[in-house]
Amino acid sequence: MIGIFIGVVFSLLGIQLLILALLIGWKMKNLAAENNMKKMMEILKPQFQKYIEGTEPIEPALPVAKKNRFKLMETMLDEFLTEDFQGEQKAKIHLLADKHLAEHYRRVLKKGQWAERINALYFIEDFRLFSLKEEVYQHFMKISKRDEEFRQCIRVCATLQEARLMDAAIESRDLSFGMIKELLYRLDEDLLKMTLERMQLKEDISENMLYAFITFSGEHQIGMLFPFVERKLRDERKEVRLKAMSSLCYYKEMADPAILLGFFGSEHWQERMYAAKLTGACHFEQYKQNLVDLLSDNVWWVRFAGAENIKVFKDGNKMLEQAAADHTDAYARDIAKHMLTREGGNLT
Amino acid sequence: MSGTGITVFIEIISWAIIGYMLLAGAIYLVLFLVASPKINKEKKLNRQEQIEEMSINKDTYPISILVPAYNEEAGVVSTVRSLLDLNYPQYEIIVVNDGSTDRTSEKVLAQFGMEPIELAIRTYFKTGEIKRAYRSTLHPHLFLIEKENGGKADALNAGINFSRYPYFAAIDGDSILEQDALLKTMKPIIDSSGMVTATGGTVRIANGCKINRGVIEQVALPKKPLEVMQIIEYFRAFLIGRLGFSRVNILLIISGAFGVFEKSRVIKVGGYKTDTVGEDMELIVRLHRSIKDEKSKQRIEYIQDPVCWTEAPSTVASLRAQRIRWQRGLAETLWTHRGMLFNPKYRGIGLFSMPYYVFIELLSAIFEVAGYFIIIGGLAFSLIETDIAVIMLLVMVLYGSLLSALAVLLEEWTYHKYPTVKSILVLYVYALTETFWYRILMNFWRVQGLFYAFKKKSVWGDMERKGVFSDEAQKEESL
Repeated sequence: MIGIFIGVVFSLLGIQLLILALLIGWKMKNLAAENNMKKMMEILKPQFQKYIEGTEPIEPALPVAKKNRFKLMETMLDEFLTEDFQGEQKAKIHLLADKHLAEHYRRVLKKGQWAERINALYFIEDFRLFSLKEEVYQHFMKISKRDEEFRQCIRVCATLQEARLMDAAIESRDLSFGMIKELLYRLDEDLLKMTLERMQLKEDISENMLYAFITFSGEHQIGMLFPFVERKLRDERKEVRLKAMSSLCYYKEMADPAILLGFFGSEHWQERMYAAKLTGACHFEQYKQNLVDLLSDNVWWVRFAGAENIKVFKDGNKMLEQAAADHTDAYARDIAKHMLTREGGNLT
Repeated sequence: MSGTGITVFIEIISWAIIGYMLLAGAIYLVLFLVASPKINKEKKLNRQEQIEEMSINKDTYPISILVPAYNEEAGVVSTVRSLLDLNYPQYEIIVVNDGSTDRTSEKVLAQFGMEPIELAIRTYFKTGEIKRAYRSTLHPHLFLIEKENGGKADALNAGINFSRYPYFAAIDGDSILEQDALLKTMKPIIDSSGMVTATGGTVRIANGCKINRGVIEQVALPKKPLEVMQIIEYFRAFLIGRLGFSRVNILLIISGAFGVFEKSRVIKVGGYKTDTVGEDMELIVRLHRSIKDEKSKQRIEYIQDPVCWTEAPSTVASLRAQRIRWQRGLAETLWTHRGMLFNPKYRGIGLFSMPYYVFIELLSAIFEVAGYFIIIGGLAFSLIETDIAVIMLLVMVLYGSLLSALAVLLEEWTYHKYPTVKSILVLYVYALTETFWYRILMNFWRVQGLFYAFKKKSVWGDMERKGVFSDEAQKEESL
């Protein structure tokens, strides 16, 4: 019996020592490769920088050894992307990426492991590799699992302005609100317009699509969609009304401010809060007293929004000082005091 | 009972302990096998590219970072500095000075230009009285609350009351976060559109690392064996244990050093429990309980990236106090939620996690300590056959040293945060020595912790912080 245990312990120890030796060998090799890469980068990066800036007309030669050539270019071009290159220079970076990296990414999409494929998708997007548009779309069609690969793949399709993706997105009921917004942000003007028109025509779009659409319109202040968003204030669904109110805060205007009045007395505290926010965003002087009334609301967030948006007005501080001193409600006095000293400093 | 009867009895106990330890070791291996496919799958993933989008996305949920601080004058400024440097689109930092008797507040006030503000806070939970609040004039998203002492849980509850955002992160005042820590930890929440309700990341020990103004500049090993062993222990806990549990949504611990939570869910379950020393685990168990009671599909996840660095106790006394406290906290939590044990209503939590924490994490120390006496009794006094004593020793080596050594190999295979070959060798050799000294110490303290839990005796002890994050300490270390 004891022999078995001794055998097990020493065999496991032996296996571990073997793995340790392999890991150490691997680590030493990697450290050497990293040092080598660092040295090559120090030599090549300034040369490529000159080429991108146009001060050097001929593209610098890469090391003869193919090993690490890809990694070197990927790292270097990625670093260039974070620098302040614009216009033609940026286009040159994309061209270099297309020339040196696209083929590798094409192979990875077909045969790479999960993590390698995702990394490839990240860089295809960063380098705007339009030459891989078809491959990425085909890859998207093959993905069945809704994981990081799926999410990144649709982001890349949107970045590469793949119209077929937007068709699928409009039809889909599974895409999250955040994901749809991410896609909308990536579209160029033509594809965006086409997508928005199609969405307006379709009657049974998913709620997430509708929310994303309303929010995106406000965040981008798209004029042609303003009436559509404002109309949604009358929607039967609370969430749609809230999204519309939030969107109008970005527009900072309302064609018919009278609609807002009803929201100050809404049974839903979120609507009372957004009524306060909209009043501040649009500077509706006529609703200032409603904001003061909200200071004694039974929900903290409404009181806070009321006070925060009183402060937006020219005489806001004065109104808050008055509320802090005279308001009959203790919560209202507290929130007014809080707002007055929110940026630091004693009450005067 | 006759002499032979006693010997037979001890032999039976011995085989039971051997069987128990083999089973516990096997469970660790199963957890490792459950975790390793994910580790392997994500090993080559470019983590930087993964969060690039989130750092500029307007829909990345804003978050409140709560820093409960009690006598943290040595490290609080560096902790806050590391938080101010975080890569995250919208967040606020709330330092809660829980009635410190040292200069914690003065340090924050002086360093960040704090000005007093009037309070109008919500009271989701009743907490110790809030005395004053300040806001930084240099960093408008930095706040300091001063309250009367009520313990860490009470300070966190006060922070939740004060916070504005829908998610909060709790971080210890003696820890620092990596620049992308929040983004990485929030990623599962954002990707799942809120289906993940709490996340925790891997915590690493900062002792020995070169830190400059709240940023880890170079990862290195400390010199003290006690500190090195804690590094190995953390590898084992985080790389082998937690990921395995998280994979099947039965994780019961998110480290108190750093975790992110959905505020509304925490408010719903009543916040942190103030009458336990294990408030971090207790909250997670309660969250699981509420999720299962509601038949909700929400999850609690652990991310494997090393994101938070913390200062480990460097003296025997402070380590002892910490371990006794942890053991007591574990015992209290398991006792509070004993109704979940073997309760099929709570599925994996009731049928696997809870029994695991009771029989492996809580009670293993008793079995191991009994094993020490049997080994000594067998080898020195021939109370049992020498063979049994040797087998028990070998099993302890398997369960202690070889599993920890495996964790060291796993760390090198995955994150290889320690940049030199020498570090790996040192860690591996230390791991092999674990059974013969470190584990013995831990087990005796854990047994003590159990007694204290029964007697409800508190041992907070003194952490004796070196302030490994403070600039002054760094200068002294490098002299």
